[in-house]
Amino acid sequence: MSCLKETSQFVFDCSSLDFIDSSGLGTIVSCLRKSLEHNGDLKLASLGPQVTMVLELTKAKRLFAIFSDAAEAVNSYVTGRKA
Amino acid sequence: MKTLIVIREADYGWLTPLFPGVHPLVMPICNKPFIEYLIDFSILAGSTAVRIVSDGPLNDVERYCENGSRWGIDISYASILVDDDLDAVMDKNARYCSEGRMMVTSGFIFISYEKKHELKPFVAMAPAGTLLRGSTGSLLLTGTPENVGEVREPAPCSLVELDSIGSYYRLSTEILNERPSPYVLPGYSNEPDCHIGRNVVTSKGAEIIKPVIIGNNVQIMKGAVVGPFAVIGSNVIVDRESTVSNSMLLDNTYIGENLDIVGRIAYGNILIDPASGVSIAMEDRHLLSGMKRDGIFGLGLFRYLFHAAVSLLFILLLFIPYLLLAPLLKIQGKWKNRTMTFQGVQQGKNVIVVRPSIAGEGVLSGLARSLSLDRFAMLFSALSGRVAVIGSFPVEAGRHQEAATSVLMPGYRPAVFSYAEAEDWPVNAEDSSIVERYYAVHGSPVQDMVLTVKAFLNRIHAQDQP
Repeated sequence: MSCLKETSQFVFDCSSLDFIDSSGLGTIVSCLRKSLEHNGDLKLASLGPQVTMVLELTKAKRLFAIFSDAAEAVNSYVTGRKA
Repeated sequence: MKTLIVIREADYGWLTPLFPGVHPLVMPICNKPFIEYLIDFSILAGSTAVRIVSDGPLNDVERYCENGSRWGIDISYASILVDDDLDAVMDKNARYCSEGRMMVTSGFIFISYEKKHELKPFVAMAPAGTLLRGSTGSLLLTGTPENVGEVREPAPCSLVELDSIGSYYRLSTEILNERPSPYVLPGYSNEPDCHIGRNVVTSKGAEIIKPVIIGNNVQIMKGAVVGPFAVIGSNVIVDRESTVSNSMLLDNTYIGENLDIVGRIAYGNILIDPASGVSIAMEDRHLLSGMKRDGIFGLGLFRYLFHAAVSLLFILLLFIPYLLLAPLLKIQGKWKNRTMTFQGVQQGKNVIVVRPSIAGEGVLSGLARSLSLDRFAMLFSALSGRVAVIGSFPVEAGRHQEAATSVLMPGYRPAVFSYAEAEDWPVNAEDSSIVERYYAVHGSPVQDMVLTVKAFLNRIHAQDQP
């Protein structure tokens, strides 16, 4: 996670993400944890219905701030708006 | 009166991609196959015979309903062409339809009724014509009324169209919500809103919240919460700390640990959102699965080596008793070698093994049986990897031929000893499948060794029982 030296605020644009399994989810949750350790956050944007289903299934949805598109998620860091 | 059930593939085109390989007529609604509701309705309406007609395959339906003797009626089957309209269908079944009154259901429709209402007099007196009609199907009567009298209005039944996964889900929820249930639902029920099947194991700390319907061979693990508004099919495991509410888990589904199934339909590894129709096929055994299937011989390589080592130990242990007892029992005529063909792990690939039968009540016979000498030859098959040392109770080839390994018994792996023997469960395909399924998901090589010894000791103990 060398990018953590530059910033601890991330947005994952999931618009091209069609599927995720537990290992992928584990990686994203691990990224979130690292971000939080550096007083940052990891926000998810443009989730497809199938990925949303997996996040709901695994109760991971409640861990993330989720936005309808990436621009909105990036702006939320500036405006402090919650998902 | 007779009933004609006409269903075309086009009527249930939406269902096939979501539930591949499942015929809509055997699709469960609150754990009861759809066709059973139609049959119950036909019987309550006074039918003595039902004919199921389709332009698609009816093999699964025939296998389930057979000749109808289970319901005390005659059930027959017929094929039609895709383009046949209802008149053509009636013409093609003219001999069946020629005798008196006919009730005809057409389309993939659910007929809502109340088991306590008097359907028979109503149908007997109703004039010929369409009784109920919807956009996807209808219920009509032909022939002259059997009784004369004033027809009571409205009809004591209504029509529910099944045209989407959402309508299927809503129907199941409504049936679950109706108190008391207007239908005969499967399972034991000593209190309202709660139907429980056979071999339902609820671990300490698990919770069941009504209304709920649970099928046969179900395990609800520690900390899991099932309900409210949950329909759990047969051969299902809800693993630790998972929640299932407002959802339907169809047969042969494994729900992993710490999951939240809310407002969903799960079928094997397929998860469906009934509101949007979105479905996802999970390829992750930690979350939702049909069943894992390992590499060679249905075992992982490491697990296979472990099984081979355990087989070798048992061969060394039983070699001398076998040499001493088998010839003596053969001389007495109590030892009969049988070559048996069992279904292998892969469908269509059978396993041939020698499995003797030991007859008689004498000391030698009892000793041979308690030492599992009838399984001695199978240990060599385990050594060569053709069967496992512990796994499923082997099923003879030819039985459950089509469904064999993937649907009826997911995780099936023929073995010398079965997990059911290790757990002292009743050894038959239906009852032992839940134990086999559980260990197929949770098993490990070390656990397999422990369970093999347990199964061996249980067989010794079984001989001591009166």
